[in-house]
Amino acid sequence: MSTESNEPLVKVRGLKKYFPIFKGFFRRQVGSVKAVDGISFDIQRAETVAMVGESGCGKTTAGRSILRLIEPNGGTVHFRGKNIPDLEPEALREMRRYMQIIFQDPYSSLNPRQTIGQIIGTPLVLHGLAANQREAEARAKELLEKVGLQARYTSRYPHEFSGGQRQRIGIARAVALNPDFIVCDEAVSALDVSVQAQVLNLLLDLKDEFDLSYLFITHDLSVVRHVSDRVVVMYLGQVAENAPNKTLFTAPRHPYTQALLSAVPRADPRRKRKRITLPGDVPKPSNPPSGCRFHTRCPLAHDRCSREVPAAHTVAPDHVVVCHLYDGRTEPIDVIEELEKKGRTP
Amino acid sequence: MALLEVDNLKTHFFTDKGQLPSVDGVSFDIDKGETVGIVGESGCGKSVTAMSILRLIPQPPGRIVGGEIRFKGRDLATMPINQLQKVRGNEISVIFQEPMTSLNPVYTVGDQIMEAILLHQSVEEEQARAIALEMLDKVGIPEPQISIDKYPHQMSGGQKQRVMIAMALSCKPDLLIADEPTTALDVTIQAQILELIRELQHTNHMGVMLITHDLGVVAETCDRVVVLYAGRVAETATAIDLFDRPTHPYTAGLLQSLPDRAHPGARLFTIDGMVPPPTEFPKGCRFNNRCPRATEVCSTRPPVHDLGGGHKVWCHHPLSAEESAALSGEDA
Repeated sequence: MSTESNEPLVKVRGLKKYFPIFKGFFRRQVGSVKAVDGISFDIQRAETVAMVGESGCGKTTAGRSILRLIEPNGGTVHFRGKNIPDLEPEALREMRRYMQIIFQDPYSSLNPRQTIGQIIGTPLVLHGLAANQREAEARAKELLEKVGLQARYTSRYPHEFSGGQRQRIGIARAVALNPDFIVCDEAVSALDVSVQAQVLNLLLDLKDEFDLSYLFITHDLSVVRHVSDRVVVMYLGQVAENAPNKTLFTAPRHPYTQALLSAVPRADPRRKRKRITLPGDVPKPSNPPSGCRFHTRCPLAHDRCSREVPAAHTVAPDHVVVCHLYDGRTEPIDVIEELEKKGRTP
Repeated sequence: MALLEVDNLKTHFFTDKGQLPSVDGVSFDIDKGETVGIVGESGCGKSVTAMSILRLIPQPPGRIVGGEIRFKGRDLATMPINQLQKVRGNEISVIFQEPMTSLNPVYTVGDQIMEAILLHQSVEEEQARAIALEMLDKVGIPEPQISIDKYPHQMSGGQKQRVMIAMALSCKPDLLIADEPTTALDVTIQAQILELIRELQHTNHMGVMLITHDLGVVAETCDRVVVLYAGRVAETATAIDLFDRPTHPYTAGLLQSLPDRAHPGARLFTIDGMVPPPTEFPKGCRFNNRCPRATEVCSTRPPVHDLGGGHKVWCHHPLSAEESAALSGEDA
């Protein structure tokens, strides 16, 4: 592995996923929803990359396109020396052993007719990691203990468990094949605070133990700050900013990132701070705004923003911002300060 | 006299599994112009408490089996239904969690807002429409003249929640019950909606009962907080006191388990186990099977400690001032 130690584990370039819109009697295609529209980023070995953004920004679609759970329309995903979108079905199936997913909804992602032993054990048999179902069950027992459940639960069914327990089962299934890379799609969003903390701890422990890389898809910025090494901020199917965790939370560049961070309520009643309130809703991805897609809601938009698509500007070696404000500038521009200078309230 | 006084409310559900004490002796007050947060995890009884106030609990299986709900001095728990209907939507309004399912899909949003106005105010349809337009404008719906004739499916989640708020506030209620009003919304939209509720509260001087599981929302919007656990009040205090000096082991555990209070990447504090279902509530203190401080005495009903300034805690082994100060110091 030493020869490829500098290569990222997952390398996403120009990934696209368009969903067609059909209308009328003949179901003619009248347009497409550009759910993911040309995103690029890397995930290093043993790194946790968080992908954040609001509903409809394409973060879930991006995660599924990377794993080819849905077919992307363009772009490349390099993983273990192969381009995932090019793989033949058989090769893709073999590759799945190394890339797994944990879903948001612990209620619908487990087959209600299978026992926990079958749910965790079947992939082991399919990928030849267990000789038979009995061996697989034995391994399932070990995995259950690893995720903090009792080994004897293998004979039970999903409905006998709570949401937090089911999420642990989903995690056991994902790590069963000893993968390199796991997509966590809102894996803790449906859980209560006290259970969420338990599951986050488990994910962090497993990462250390198995040297895992995570793509952590979430809308919860306090979770992002806690678990991630790097953060990719998405807006309307495109990357707005890509920065190391610490930089993103201390010196965010993109006005959207700044607005997002300022909107998160913090558990501190004494903290009185200024908030950037964005007007309106996220536009529809079937008809995105011209130029910079954020210009309709951006408090610092100028005329260039509606005309010209911004380029990805590198403001630091590992920090990219897609915004005209950083054309020839690397220092952060504070949205609140700028607005106050102009005598406007944020 | 407080605007709303809930006194020892008990709402139980009668099911095949027996009598489930979902809300079991909950008491709190809400004053005019005040925002009181009701917090707790799933199954703690916060929504059942809210629904009990307007007697919206499906009956059977649910029933209010004890306690009083005094609103401006009148007991809502025993009030005849025809009088209660004059309170609902007029003096007390509710915003539900899911704007997607709380609006009727076959009526325009204008019709739905006007229905409440026509029912409670002696105005003609034309005036009702004018009030509806004014409300839509106030809650920040773009182009109210056009939006008023839209159906719910033509609007986004944030817009639908604004319509719900317009509807709830159209009769200028004295009390607004907001049940997780922003949980289904994105953070930037959540910020808009909370700001809007605050503004309207200021102008109308109404009391707000904000039900949420999000301690960040509580910290930023509430004057006082009631922490519920398994159908009972664990602790109640002003928001500042609660975050500065959490005294119930459950409150302390909740605050400690928040990712924004921990160092990035560090292990989070956790409370063992999970909230028990109402069929398995433990005897005595209902938190005793998860509490790190529990002893034998915890199998008896916990006493109340009054820390002054409205800060009360129901626990056999509350945290001392030093212990809770150490907790809030950690995240500094």
